[in-house]
Amino acid sequence: MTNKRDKNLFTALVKEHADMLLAYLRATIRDQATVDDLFQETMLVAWRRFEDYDPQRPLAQWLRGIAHKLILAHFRSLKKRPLYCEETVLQVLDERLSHICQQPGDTWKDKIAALEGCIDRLPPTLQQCIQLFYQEECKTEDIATAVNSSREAVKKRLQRARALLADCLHVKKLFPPLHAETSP
Amino acid sequence: MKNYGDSHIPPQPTPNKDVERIADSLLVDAMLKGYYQDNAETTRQRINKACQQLEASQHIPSFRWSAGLSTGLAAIIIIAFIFVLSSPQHVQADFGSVLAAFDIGDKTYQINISSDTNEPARSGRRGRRRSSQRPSFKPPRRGLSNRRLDDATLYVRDSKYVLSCRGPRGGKITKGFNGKESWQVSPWGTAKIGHDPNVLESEFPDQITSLLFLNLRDTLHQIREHYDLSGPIEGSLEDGQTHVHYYIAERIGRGKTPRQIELWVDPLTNEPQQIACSVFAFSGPRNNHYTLQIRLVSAEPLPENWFTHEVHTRPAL
Repeated sequence: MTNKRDKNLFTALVKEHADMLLAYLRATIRDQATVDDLFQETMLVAWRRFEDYDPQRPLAQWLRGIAHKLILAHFRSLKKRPLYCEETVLQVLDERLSHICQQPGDTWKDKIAALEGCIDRLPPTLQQCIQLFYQEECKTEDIATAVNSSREAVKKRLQRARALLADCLHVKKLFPPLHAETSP
Repeated sequence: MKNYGDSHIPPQPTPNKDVERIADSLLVDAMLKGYYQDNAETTRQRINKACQQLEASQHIPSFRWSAGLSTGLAAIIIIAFIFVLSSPQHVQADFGSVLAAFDIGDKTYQINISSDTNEPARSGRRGRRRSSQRPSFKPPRRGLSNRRLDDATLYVRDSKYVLSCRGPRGGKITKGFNGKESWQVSPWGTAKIGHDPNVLESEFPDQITSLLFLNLRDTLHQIREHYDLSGPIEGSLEDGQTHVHYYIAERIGRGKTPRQIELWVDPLTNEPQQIACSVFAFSGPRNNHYTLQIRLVSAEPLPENWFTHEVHTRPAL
């Protein structure tokens, strides 16, 4: 499995799923450099194990499975695992991403187009915090100074904005219904 | 060797609502990072890097000592050479000569500021939204300072400056700093004087204010202190001449200062020819990005008393 045609096929498949994989890694790991390292490592392992891949199953899920093992190995090497990174949380993340992958659209950005509409629906104060934090990459204390508020208030606003966005994404069916709402 | 053969996440018991909320929040956080910070270029770079790793991993078994040794030695020499040329100390030393050149003589700069639709200085990760999706330009609530700054003229002599720009109700406003006092001359010729060199900058967009861009000398020193310099590389400006081009990135985000700056320098005199950056105004509607461009238009000597307010209060001026 080392000929050029296979490598081209593999590269094309990776390109298709790179953004999804990054989203999965970013959801579990805060440090961007570690995210990039694990992304590279996932690709490398996937290439080496490409013969084991069953084409009948979704490639995205297989890649997430590899990333999942690498994430756990990463936390084992640190000898600490964040509370938010429990198996159940990882499982829900996997479900959400599977659901997003099934959305119409050729690219990841097409599939998550609903996110932009949800951002636009946020109240202006929350939109401002989201922009400063994610787009301008400001620290929370700097945002607090900019919006004349406390750091804790900014963190609350960001938390609130993320919760509202998640609710909106459920409504827009980009996220599947909550288990608690569907179970009897 | 770890077993990645059955690489699927093992099934878990049905999660409760709290777990789902946590996962949702983590995923939204990740999606926002991707939405705002990734673009086609960063994705391409990541994939290329991964492909290079694949290539490297394939080449390892066929590595031969004789060829490997000479290639390795050549690589070490090339890497060392590149390191010496591009090391921060080297770039910092170059930038020191830019600072020294700036202190020689008077300079006249043209300022252009516009709503940021193309974002030329914002290479890379931010500003993912397409220009067609951006709200149309609206000035921030704190006045029309951005539009007034467009086409303004800035005269500089070491830490002294004179800025000539449009007033809020038309006419020309002249602001200046003579080394001790700030002053402002209204369109009808009356002067206001203050002792704080920055007090008259307060109406400008926050990031411009923080960078003290009117005092270009301090700005260049701030760049050396708080920013990482990369380059210099050869670059051309609109005049078609070759310039030395620096990319400058803020070392630690301070919130109110531009994250990235581009600087073009004359290769012979080391005089700064153009500074460009994208700035963000916190007030007003969202997406208040402005591109600020400061371009050298003349290095001719100015009258000795040009930086005092008396010169500019004369009706003839």
